[in-house]
Amino acid sequence: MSFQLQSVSLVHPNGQRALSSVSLAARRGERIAVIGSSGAGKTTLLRLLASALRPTDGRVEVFDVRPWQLSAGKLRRLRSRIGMVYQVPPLPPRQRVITAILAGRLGVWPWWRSLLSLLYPADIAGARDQLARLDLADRLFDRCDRLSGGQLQRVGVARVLYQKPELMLADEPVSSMDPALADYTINQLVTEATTRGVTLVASLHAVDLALRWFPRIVGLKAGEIVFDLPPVRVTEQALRDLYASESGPLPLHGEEPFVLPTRALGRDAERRKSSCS
Amino acid sequence: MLLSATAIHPRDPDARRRATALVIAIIVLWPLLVVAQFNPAILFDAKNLAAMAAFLRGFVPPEMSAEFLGHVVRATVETLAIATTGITLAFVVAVPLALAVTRSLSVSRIGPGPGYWRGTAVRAGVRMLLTILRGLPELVWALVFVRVLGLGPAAAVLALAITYGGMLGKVYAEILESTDTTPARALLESGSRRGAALLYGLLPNAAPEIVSYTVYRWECAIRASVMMGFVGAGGLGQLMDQAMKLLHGGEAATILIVFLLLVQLADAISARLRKQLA
Repeated sequence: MSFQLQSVSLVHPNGQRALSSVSLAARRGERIAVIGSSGAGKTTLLRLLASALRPTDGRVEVFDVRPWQLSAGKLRRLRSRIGMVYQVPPLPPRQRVITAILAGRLGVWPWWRSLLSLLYPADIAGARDQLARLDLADRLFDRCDRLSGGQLQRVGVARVLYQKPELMLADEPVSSMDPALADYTINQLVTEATTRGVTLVASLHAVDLALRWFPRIVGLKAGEIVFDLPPVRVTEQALRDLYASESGPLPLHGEEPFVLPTRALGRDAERRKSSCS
Repeated sequence: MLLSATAIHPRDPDARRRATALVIAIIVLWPLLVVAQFNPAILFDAKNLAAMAAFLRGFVPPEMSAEFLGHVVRATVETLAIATTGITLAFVVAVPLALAVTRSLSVSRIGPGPGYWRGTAVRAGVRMLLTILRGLPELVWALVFVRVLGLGPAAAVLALAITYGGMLGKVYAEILESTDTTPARALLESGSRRGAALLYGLLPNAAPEIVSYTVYRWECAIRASVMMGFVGAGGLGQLMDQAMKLLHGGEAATILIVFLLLVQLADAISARLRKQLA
């Protein structure tokens, strides 16, 4: 098992209930998209999986261990196997792109390597390779504050690609990108997950991206899972219920009219999944 | 009219608290001014002005003889050496303490995870240690160390290392906590160690502040080493002490000019470094 949540609830310290009795499990290599309106608990769910938030109730297992029962050292090593792409990448504005990407490995590097890498970047080629996958290689030595929001998001993706985690989490990873670039970037994440056979969980605001790239769609509403289905079985009605909008348009990333995926695409997604496991 | 206006626009819920704070500040400050005998009018009393003028007249012209300037240069080098060595030692003392006390670098606060109470206790302990280090003025430490080590710069260096170590540690931790802490948090959440999270997550944002405060403290250390010179710890202070005791106003004036130049120098260094780090 890559992870397992059993009736997990989380109440924030201010009393706001973010998740109620959520159960979700994934085998290694699964790709899951979490969709739902703003405030549904998508970020909280991902942060629980990252062992960054502790559940108020219920049981969390990541890589078959319960993170909150580990010693400090083991918890640190567990966290170094989990990578998170943030909607707003938490990168210091004055940091150079190369440093931001190399920081992905700080969890596994010995301390002296982390220190030396500040004097001279420890792995220029490795960082450049990941950045090149996102079509941004020419910005390797630029400072983060010279980049646009979408470019910064790609640096955040490159950091996690460089980290090579066994569980990749992505919280609205392409929200600042144009449709073509968003599609391309999700493709890179999916490719990484399939070639290395690691688990990918992404929360996406754009329904079309989720349905196109992920064999498993989890709908989250008011902190509860309302459906957990392959894309072919996600109906338009289910989506309208999820976003509680009978009349308004569904949130999409592309501008083309929304068409529910055909069975062929669904099987294609299934095939992609099985080919990697 | 007014009633309907307040009904439409909600009132600022914090206004009453701000007003209360202002009133309390005045109530507290006024008696303190009285206790401190703060009365600017006496500065401009004719008799007092004359006394001040007489005192200042003794300072001109500044002493510029080659022999005295030689003494001043030697004493300036000694003062700079005391201040720089003192600040360096203080930095060595401050960095591990700041690292221990900075909340945003605490791994156990995530969750909270294992070792949370131990971490909280360690931070409280180190915070108290920082208070103790900077609690006594460096002059007091200098007096103590002059007794132990004898007259000379070593006493001033140790006094600076202790007091300024406490100050730097406290302010470093506060700077690190007031910058954007999300980069460090993200690194800790992906298994990074505390030191690496500091170097890769907090320092890029905080470095200009930290450098500027450190250089400012170096400037303070120059002034402090002068004060400690009065109690026999060498440098410009000792020279100044002799000049004042012998009523050589011109010599004192020369030394004061050197002080001003040193402060200018510190300011220029700080500006230069901040520009490079910006």
